[in-house]
Amino acid sequence: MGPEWTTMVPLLALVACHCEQSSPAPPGAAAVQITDDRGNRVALPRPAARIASLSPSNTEILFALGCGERVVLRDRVSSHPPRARRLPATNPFQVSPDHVAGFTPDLVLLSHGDASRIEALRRLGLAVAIFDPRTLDEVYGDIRAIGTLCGAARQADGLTRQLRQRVQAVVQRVRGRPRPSVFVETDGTDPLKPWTAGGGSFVDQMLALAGGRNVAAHLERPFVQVNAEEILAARPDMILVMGVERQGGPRGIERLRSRMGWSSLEAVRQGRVIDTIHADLLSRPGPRLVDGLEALARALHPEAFR
Amino acid sequence: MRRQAWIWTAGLAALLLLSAWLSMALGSQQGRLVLEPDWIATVSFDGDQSLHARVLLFWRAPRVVASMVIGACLAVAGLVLQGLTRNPLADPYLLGISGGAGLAVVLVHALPALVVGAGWWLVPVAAFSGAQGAALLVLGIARSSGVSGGRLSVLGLILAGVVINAFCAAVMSFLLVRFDPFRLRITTLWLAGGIGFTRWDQLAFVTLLALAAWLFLRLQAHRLNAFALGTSGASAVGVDADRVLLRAALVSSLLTGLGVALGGLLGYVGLIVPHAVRGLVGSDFRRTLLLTAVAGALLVAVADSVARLVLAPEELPVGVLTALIGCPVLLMLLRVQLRGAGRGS
Amino acid sequence: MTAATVLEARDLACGYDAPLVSGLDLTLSQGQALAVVGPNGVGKTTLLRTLAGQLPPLTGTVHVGGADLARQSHLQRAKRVTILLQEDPGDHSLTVRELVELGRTPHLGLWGRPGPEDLQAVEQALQACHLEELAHRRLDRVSGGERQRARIAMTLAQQTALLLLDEPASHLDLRRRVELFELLTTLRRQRHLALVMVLHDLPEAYQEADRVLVLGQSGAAEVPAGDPERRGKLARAFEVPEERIPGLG
Repeated sequence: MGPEWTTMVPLLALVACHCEQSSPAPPGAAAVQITDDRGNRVALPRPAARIASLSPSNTEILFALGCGERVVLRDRVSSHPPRARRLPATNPFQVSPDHVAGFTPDLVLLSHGDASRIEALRRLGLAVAIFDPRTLDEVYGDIRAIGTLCGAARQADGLTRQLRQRVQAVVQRVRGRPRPSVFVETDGTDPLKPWTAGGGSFVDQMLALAGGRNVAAHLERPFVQVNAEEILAARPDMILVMGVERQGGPRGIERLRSRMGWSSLEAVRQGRVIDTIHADLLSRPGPRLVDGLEALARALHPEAFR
Repeated sequence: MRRQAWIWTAGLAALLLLSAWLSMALGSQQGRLVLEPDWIATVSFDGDQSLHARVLLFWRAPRVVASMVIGACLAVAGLVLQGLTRNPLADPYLLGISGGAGLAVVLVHALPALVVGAGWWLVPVAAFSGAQGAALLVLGIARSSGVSGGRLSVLGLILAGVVINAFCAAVMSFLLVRFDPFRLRITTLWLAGGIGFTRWDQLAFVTLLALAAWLFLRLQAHRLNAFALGTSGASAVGVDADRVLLRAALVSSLLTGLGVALGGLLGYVGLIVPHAVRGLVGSDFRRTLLLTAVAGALLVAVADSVARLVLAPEELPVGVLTALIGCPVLLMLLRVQLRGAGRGS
Repeated sequence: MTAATVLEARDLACGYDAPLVSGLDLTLSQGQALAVVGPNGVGKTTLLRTLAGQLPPLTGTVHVGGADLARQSHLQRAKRVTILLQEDPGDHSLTVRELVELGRTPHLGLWGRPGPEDLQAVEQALQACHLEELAHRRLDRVSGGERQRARIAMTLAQQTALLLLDEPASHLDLRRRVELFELLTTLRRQRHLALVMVLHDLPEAYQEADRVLVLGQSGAAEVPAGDPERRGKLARAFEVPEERIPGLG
């Protein structure tokens, strides 16, 4: 087939044309530099003073480090602490480099987004750091990195030390106690196929630290749908209902009771349902994870905390 | 009619330049729409030193040019495919391209390491390869089942395209269901069509290729016209129908692949613009090829500017705008056409 | 002065897998018209398409204007012979003039722009077929007869020596049929056009053509008007009793 090479040649050239790429490095000597979670080296000539924080976990970390006033732009989802909501917001999924550049940030923090738009930000000469931690240790590492970028390395060390101590305290308290099995429901919109958090997710990790056992730990993905039948068959000791509660809406336990077949579960009948912990505390990879851990441990082992 | 075509082409080209200038001049600063008529001065003096000049040079300008190239590519591909298959509902994604490109991009996004930051270039390259791979497959299937001289090969093309598109869509659905919300959102945005970051060298390369493809089609224009007689009728006037069909289909796929690599699966452009152009100046490819390219460029350039600016800093999906702008224009033209056609016979 | 040979078929066998017609020898000169008759499905259209070069012969050769069709490119072929099939799947949104212009396709240059000879050929074709008044009208706004004339005009614009027609008058009323055959006769006289026509009306075939080729189950043979066994041969070819063969004039 003769003319088919007309498509192969452009393809190869297109690949070659794309492959070599390096964005211009920021000028000047680097006073602070770190490596972000994607392995990119991020260097600034001086600690960041105007930060566009385009992911809620990074916003929380910044405020926790005392650098909140430096944030000039946030993403729409960043909601904590409450005074962050006063900041102008942008769409983190389709970042508008135009819009971001209008705030003249010297650092842009992200965790997810469209790769080509992030590249656009870099091409504008902006320093872009991507923090997307998967474990608690990585969260500590990100806190340190962000602290370094802001010239707040000491505060970062202090914060991580505090967090580690609190986590240790929880682990000590629940040591040796029997581990209840827990079904985590992250989204119960379809009661026949609820979403749960599999092995490796933050909830899963927090559960393990808090002295519990995730019934879905064998499922390798952080977000996974399961059949309600399997949950009923697994007979969890407790049920953790995440998901944001509507004001005045039914509480998690009431919703479970109203589902067909679920009231046969021991956990539901005996009211062993945890529905008071806000989802962000157990899934947002920031310092509040430890708050979530403490709340979870208290709910799993109330006797240990009297 | 020939003079008419030139007038329309020149007029739309002027509008295109105007729209490009306006696009460059309009931006958002701190959430408010701002017009800066002296953007040319900014770029000339600041070069790439100031952040604002870099926004103009490396974000806005490539995007404006990319939108024009995408529009031209998709519109011309649609024109050729509608002419070859004699099907006014044909769009550039007919030959399995939406399936192939979409599946390739979904696969790329399914890779664990690639969510953000690493290898942004994988997406356009995957889109292009998926598009071409699917087109080659479709052409191969149609060829092996075609009978020369009849309309069977064209029908074979359409059917093979439908099958490949459907199959790819099914696999895509299967994969998408397993995506986490972030990845899902990003992938869906691409599938709906949107113009992201383009580097100047990438853009130059794509534009050159598109120009070469357009030139090839222009040189075949009088042979493509013969397809109005059906494939055996075209053969009777000396056109090697099978060969011309295959090559024109391949080049159309190339154009579509380029458009998709730059801007995702943008819909309606390849369907609407050819209709509008044919309604204005008739079906002669010698007249319509240039006008279609210009009209397509104009539609997408305007649509992208509106998408970028109307709800700044939020961006609307460009595909929504092409439909919103293109459909009323097409309806108007159809009314004129149908009113005219009803009066005859 | 003998007219030049336009078409020469030698030992021609044509068909798809099995030959429908075999061992055919045929010669046609300028200005001559050959009618092809026979029952449905016997291979008339197949023969026509083989003579046009659209189907390869199973055995034998076809020479048009002295050149072997099998060795000609599509373009070269289109300058010597053209064919008009019965069905018209064409785009009816074209104008009459645009349709006729399509006949010039094999003569157009690199950019496909018509030159002065092309424009002249189109004008002559329109005039010859009395279509000047209708030239600007769309094909879906003219009658069936006028449309057929436009198709003929297209083949004229192509300026081939040989024209093959598959049932050119099949859907036309009496008046249009008469007009069409008068036109064809005039063209043969004025332009020395050689013609092969598939016809299903036997009297019409003998009236409008110089020679008649009869295709039957047992083979193909020319049956001249003066042949005393004409009716018998036709009856055998069509597998009907001899009394059913109409008056052939």
